[in-house]
Amino acid sequence: MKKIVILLCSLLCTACMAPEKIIEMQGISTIIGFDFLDDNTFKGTISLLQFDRKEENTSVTLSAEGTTSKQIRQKLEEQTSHDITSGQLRTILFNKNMAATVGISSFLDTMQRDSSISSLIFLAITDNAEETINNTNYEEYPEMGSYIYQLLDKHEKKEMLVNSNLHDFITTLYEIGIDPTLPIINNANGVAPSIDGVALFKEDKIVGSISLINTLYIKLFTNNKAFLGDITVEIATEELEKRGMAELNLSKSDSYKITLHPIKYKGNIEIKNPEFVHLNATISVSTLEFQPSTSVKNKDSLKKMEQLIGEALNKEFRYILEELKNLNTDPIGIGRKIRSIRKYSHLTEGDLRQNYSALKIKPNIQVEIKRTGLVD
Amino acid sequence: MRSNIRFVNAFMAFYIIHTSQIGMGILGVPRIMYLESKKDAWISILISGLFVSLITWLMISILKKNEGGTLFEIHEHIFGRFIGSIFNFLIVIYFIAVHYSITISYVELSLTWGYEGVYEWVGVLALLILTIYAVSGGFRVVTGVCFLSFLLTIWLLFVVYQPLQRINLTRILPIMTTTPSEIIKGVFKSSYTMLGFETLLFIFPFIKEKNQLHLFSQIAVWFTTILVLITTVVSILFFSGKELEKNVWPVVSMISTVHFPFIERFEFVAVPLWILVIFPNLCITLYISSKGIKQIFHIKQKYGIWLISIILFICSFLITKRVDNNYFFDQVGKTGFFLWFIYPIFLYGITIIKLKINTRSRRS
Repeated sequence: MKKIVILLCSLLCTACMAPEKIIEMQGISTIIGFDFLDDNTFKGTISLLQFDRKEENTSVTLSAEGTTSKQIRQKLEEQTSHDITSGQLRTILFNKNMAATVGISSFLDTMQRDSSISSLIFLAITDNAEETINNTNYEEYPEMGSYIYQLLDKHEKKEMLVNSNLHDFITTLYEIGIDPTLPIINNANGVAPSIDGVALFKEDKIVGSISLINTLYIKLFTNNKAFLGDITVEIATEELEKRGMAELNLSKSDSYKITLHPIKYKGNIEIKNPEFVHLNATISVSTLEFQPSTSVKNKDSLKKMEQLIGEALNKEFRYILEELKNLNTDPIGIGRKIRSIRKYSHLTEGDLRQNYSALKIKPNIQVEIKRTGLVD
Repeated sequence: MRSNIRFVNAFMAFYIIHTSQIGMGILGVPRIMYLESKKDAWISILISGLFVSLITWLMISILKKNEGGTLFEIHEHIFGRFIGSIFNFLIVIYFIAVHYSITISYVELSLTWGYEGVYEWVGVLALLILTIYAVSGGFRVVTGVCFLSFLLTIWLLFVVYQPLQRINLTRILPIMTTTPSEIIKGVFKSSYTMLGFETLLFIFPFIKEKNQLHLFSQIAVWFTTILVLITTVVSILFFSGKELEKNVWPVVSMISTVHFPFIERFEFVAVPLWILVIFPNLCITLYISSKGIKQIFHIKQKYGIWLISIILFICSFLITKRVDNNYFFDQVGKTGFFLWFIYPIFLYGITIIKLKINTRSRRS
């Protein structure tokens, strides 16, 4: 009896499997891009990794048209003898016009439904997805998909990109009171694609963009463990003199430029009432560079310097907030914070949007210079 | 007569009860709870846990008042052979349904995550043969399965560490915005996940130190409650509301953001590993139902096991669609709620009345 059971088990465990996958037979897609043609037809472009050693090229790009992303995939299958798999898919590119007119949420449905697609996949916006993928300049990487993935991954970890993977995008898209953002990839002839700002969304449509540097202000309040990139501020010399810091002023240039490296930061959205919001943040920094070179020695002038830097940041932040309000997009998540307070938890998405354009926001960023490097 | 009762230590009750509570339910519970009681799902779970703890105490009292024995024996003792057998038969049917619901939901999960196109019966058969093999070994083997399964899978809890980096605390605020009726509905819905503590009613004769059983079963049900609570709270913080309502298995979707340098897609490890989590459930439900068959028809337990397995196998051709499955799980959960959350209260009352009558008749 026991022997029969063991035999049966071993038969079941070894034979009944899904068809095996041989690596040479796989067309491993690493990137897919969608362009909008017209009348609900889209053009999909993928880049496949090539495993055959005899081949010169390490990648193949294919394009096809269709009405759903899975239909596009079906048509792509017609063009290759390899079996297209999406297990290693790392990036999805969307055409900028498409994202601005049609919206991209209809594409995300299949990404969520398909269990072979990881939820850590990157999403990005580009002017023309087909051209970007067909660009042949991709540094030392085997093909475009790997290059763009590394580019985005590095920027998310080391520089100033707001999280932009599928999970983050869908979560913020569905959340009431916060709007998603995605990086924009710029494609030019003869050079490798590069990151060129961050697209701002309202619902699932692009309404505007901000520069990569300015995502710092979004990161301050949305992610408490992110890496802020270096901050450069410019302070007019007269301002320094006005504050009685003339003793620093050794050279005769018009303005001082300071580059700071954030060590730690803490952002907090303080809701006074639904019409008035404080955005408080403290950043501890180390100074990387003074142009022209100066040294801040005594405590008093250090404090004044911190104040000046804080003011400069606040001023810039105020411009950005004004722009965000004009576009009526809320990537910082002020609406979400308002809604988390008991009194206002009944507010709907429409209420929040209406409220947002009339919202008074007071930025309050404080800078603390902790280290000054090897010299002071 | 050769006694087939072999004892196990009281602390094993912890593993038996805990592992039979945790199963397929926990993978989907955050969504099911969120659909009912929104941000306050965690309150529902705490209330549910408290309720389970009370019922556990009640069950222990019932068992002690009836001088041991399983629920099947208690039924026969209280209601007589004929009516008792009808009750026992219903319970056997309930356990067969639970067994099938666990099997089919796991098969469905594994088919979605990688084995699309395989027939459902293949998966059901594979699980059934394994279970038959384990249950044929007797109660001590089943206990061993529970113990090993606990040790081999409890580390999955630490996998939550990575999703914890992506949570947002404002999603659970403000607390207590849902109405009490919604919270109670949530308690009702959590029953499918919390069920399993009824095993207590069937393992009592096998426990060596009977006075310690209460302590270990309480630890077990509270440990389960805390695990379910952690999963639900982390899921609510991790997903935005609408997204959580969409995901069938939010816990698996959450695990899919976990990645290590050596394993990129951790969910493809977690899903096959989950077989270890559901294996004790399968063993225990099959064990109890076959024990019931033995009690009712006075046949060898072996035949009971085979009979039930054949029924389960036939079922695997009938209920296989996602929509049907959902309805089926819902019905099993509801039945379980009335059977194990409400019925013990009545049983306790009946036991006390019976005892009173007995002592009075003895006195006169």
